[in-house]
Amino acid sequence: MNKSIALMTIKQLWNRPVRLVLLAGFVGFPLLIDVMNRQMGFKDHTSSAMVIINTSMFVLIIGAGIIGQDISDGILPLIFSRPIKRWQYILTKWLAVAFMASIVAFLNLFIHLLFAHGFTFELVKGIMPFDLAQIVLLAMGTTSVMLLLSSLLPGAADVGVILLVCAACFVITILQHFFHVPGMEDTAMNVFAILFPSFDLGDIHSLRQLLSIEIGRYFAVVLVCLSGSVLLVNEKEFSYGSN
Amino acid sequence: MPPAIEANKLTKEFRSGKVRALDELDLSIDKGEVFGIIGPNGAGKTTFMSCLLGLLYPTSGTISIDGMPPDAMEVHRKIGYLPERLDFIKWMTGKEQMNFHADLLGVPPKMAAVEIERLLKLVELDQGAWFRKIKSYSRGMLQRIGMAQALLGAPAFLFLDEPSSGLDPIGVRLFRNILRDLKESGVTIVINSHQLDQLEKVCDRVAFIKGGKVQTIENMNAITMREGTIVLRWMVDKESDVSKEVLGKVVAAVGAEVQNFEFPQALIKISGDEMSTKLIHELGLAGLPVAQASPSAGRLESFFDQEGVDPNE
Repeated sequence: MNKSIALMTIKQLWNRPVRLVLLAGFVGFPLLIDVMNRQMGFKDHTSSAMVIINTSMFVLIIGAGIIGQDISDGILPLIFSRPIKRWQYILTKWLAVAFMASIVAFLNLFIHLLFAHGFTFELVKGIMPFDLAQIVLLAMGTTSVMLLLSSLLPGAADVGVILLVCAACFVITILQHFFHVPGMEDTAMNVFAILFPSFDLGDIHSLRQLLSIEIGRYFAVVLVCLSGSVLLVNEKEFSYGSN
Repeated sequence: MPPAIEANKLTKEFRSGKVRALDELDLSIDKGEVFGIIGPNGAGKTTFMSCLLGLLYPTSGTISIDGMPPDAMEVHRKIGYLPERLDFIKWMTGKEQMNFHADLLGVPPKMAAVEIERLLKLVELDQGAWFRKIKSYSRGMLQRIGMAQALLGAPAFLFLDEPSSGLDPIGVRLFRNILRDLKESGVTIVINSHQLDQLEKVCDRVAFIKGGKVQTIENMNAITMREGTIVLRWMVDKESDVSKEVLGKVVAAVGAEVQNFEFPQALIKISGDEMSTKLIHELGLAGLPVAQASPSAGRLESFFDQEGVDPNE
């Protein structure tokens, strides 16, 4: 972990106003729905689970072009001329983006619960330690996938690819529902599980349950993505000259 | 003493070998030397610089800095780099940029604050710009902040790619003085530039690279002795005060040649510094005291003219 790269990554977000507006939108929209529900007399609120799922969206917004943007901006040659290993840079970026997305997701969850319950004991009860850990797991998993795609693609094309794959998954799910093509929904769910790796901490009640397929898949995806990114960036050549 | 920088049969190919940017390049640079690299566009100068920084991996051959590979962290602690393309983090202020690089170098914060202020003053970056975002900087200001960040951490090796590009004449002179001071303190400096007149003022040796190979390496002191053309100027009122006949005789007597005479100046072809000194002395004795004498072109430019080489083509 490199402190200067971590701080740079965090400050990078504050200097990208479009992303801040998008973040505000994704935090504010569910609240707006809740306000409208309340106005219409419904008592239902957006569920905590939904709020947690938003974590992936925060990662996409904060982490878009996590490495690719730095490459496109041309800032990496000068950074790599300093005594910093490339794997340090990658892992720091990963942790910094996952940390920021987690913080935004915590705040989102807190605001959501505050709106639903007010300053009551219910608010404290609503913040489950599992939820917080779940947010961190999802943020770290999704960021690792972004990291791999960003090592391969220029600028913020990583988000484009993820959105494209999501759209494709949506289409193949429709195929099963409307045209009864078997196995399409499962395929889409598996792709989603790879794009947004996570596992339900609530399902773990004993040590044996740590050996589940979901947990194995999570760590496999994260490890493959991180080592793949390190490998790709290590192999990458940088020059100010025209190649 | 082992060389500070050594490249042995350094080859770098791009596009699966279709483009050979460096072709078995051999080069040796001594400690404390100011070494210039010139050559036409696409000669391989920046590729060589990128190999020095460990940003490009050689296809074959070796390159070492202080006996270590260029991607060693120990090497990166000792180098300062001013890139040609000044792609800094644009949302940072000048001071933030300096702090960021000092932090990457591991300079303790208290020391960094003093060092940053000293360097920003050294490169004469306007104090108002210290706290302004880099995206608002002019090319000259970028060059100054670039030089300041390159000097962070008192580097033992300084790699400069077109350091005086975009600088005003005062800035050019300032950079030259900074380089002279650094040379005196024993810093090994590699300069990649198209500006021959600037290179000849600071470099000990200059390599001419073309087609990825070193064509020639010239010692700047040796170049001084070679032939060239000098411009002589007289401060007299009438053309008749400078006798063409006397001038012709004196020039011929010292073995030089009048190339052109247009009052009040003459272009004289000489074969070395010694001859020009003798000529000026003899002209004084002959009643034609010269008010001003200067080389018609830089030493380096004259050298390439004689060799029939255009360093920029």
